[in-house]
Amino acid sequence: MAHIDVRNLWVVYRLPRHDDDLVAVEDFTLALAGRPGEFVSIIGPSGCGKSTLLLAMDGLVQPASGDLLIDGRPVAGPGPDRAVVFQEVALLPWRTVLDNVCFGMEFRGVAAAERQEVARRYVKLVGLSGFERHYPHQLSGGMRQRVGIARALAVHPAILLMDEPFGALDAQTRQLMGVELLRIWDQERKTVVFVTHDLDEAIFLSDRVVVMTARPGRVKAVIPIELPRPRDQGVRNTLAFIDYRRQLWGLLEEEAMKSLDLVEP
Amino acid sequence: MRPRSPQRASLLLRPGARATVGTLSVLLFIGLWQTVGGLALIDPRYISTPVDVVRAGVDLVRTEELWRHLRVSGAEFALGFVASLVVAVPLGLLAGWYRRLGYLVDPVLMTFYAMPRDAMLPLIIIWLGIGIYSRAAVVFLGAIFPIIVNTMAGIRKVEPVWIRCARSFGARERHLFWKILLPGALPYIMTGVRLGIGRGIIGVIVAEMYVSVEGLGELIMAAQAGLNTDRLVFVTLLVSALGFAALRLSLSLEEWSAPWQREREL
Ligand SMILES: Nc1ncnc2c1ncn2[C@@H]1O[C@H](COP(=O)(O)OP(=O)(O)OP(=O)(O)O)[C@@H](O)[C@H]1O
Ligand SMILES: [Mg+2]
Repeated sequence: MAHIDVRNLWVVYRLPRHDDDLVAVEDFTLALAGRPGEFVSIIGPSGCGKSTLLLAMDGLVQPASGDLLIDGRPVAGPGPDRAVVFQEVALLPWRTVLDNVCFGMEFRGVAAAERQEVARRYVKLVGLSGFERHYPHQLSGGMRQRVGIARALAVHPAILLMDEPFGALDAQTRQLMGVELLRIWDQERKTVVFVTHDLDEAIFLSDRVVVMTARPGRVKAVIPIELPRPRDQGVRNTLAFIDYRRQLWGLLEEEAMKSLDLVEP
Repeated sequence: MRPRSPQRASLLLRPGARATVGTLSVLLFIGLWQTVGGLALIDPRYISTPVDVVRAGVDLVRTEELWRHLRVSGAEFALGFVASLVVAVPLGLLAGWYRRLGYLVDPVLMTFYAMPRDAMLPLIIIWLGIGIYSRAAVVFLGAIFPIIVNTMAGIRKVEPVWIRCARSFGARERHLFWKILLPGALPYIMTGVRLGIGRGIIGVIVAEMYVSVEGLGELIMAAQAGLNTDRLVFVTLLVSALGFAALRLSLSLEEWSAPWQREREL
């Protein structure tokens, strides 16, 4: 239940030993409704600045200019209202699954006993019961991603920033996790920013899909997804769904070509 | 041709073959040594014989002399090593994390790291006298630099995304040290500890040989002065065995500190 307002945001990386700075996000403007929390997906070609945008929203990366407001207050750094599911997953290899899920809660004043209990619940939620005592190197890539998701959910953030959280999952698990995510979203009414490369996933989950241009990333189009909720798997076969997919595919293809320096078809 | 049955697979390939062959080679060596020394093919005053060495060892143990010297050497080592850990790990973490501090201490560190510590012994004796403290100081100086240098290297191997993740969840600077930097650098710290143990042991013995009235190093020097080759060989072997045991222990510590790395290498 938090309103996010991104206005004319620029993010620039300084590169050592380069003359030019690298513009990752250019003049990005987007507002996400906070009440009830909106589910917005971001798609765009690789390297267009999606992760950078998410990190900026969390306050981990300083914008060069523009405004970033949450419920009207400027973002100065990470806060308890937000949690990130990192693209690199970022589990701590010396901690078990359970302790990794506890990690986020340790900085938020949750008592140790309660941390364990909450962590167990979310480990179960992402389907990893029985793996509580395993270490990350003993898990598959998809299992690790689910630990990262549990860790973020366990701190009950009002805003969930998810960077390709299902990237390493097989198609079936991916769909099931999507349904599960929608259920949690429905229950807890979070604002979700969801980065993905999977168009169907973006359409199935979102209220709106933002298409970004090739780097430097700007907003190319914002497509509202007007499919009724709650949605079930059947919606994927409706004409409306297929239309959205065609539309997004067209928008994305142009940008993908640009980002690879190919000529227009 | 019939395939070989598994039982007839080579001795060298069986599990445990390493231990078997290793033991055999040691026994072979001892047998050879006993023969050469016992038949006086080489004067036993130079090389002694295994039987005499064992006898000298038994004598030493019986007179309680050995324990006294062992205790002294052990205490010097423990004192110096614990002190070096207490200083080196926090300093290494800080110097690894805060770039500027790192730039500041790096040249000094490298100079000391490269300096033969035994060459500093005379100076240390001027400062601390010839008691246990000067010998502990040699251990301290031997162990502290590899631990600092490896701890700093460990910090550089900490994944930026772990830091980012911790910050995102609200970690403060001091949390970063306890929850990310120390555990993340631990495998490297343990490598430093292993190197430090090796240098520390050498330090104790050399310092005692140079100036001491007690300790294993002194025992070696006294045996030499008295031309007691049996005892000399016994104590030298004992020191090697202790060093070997400490090395094994620290290797296990190193593995234990980073189970994820061990399995990745398999
Ligand atoms: N720490 C950094 N320092 C310098 N440049 C960076 C850094 N992180 C990202 N970049 C650059 O910023 C641009 C955008 O990167 P970003 O990771 O945001 O892309 P992305 O849209 O998430 O791509 P992908 O879909 O492949 O994950 C890229 O050109 C990348 O090289
Ligand atoms: Mg990315």
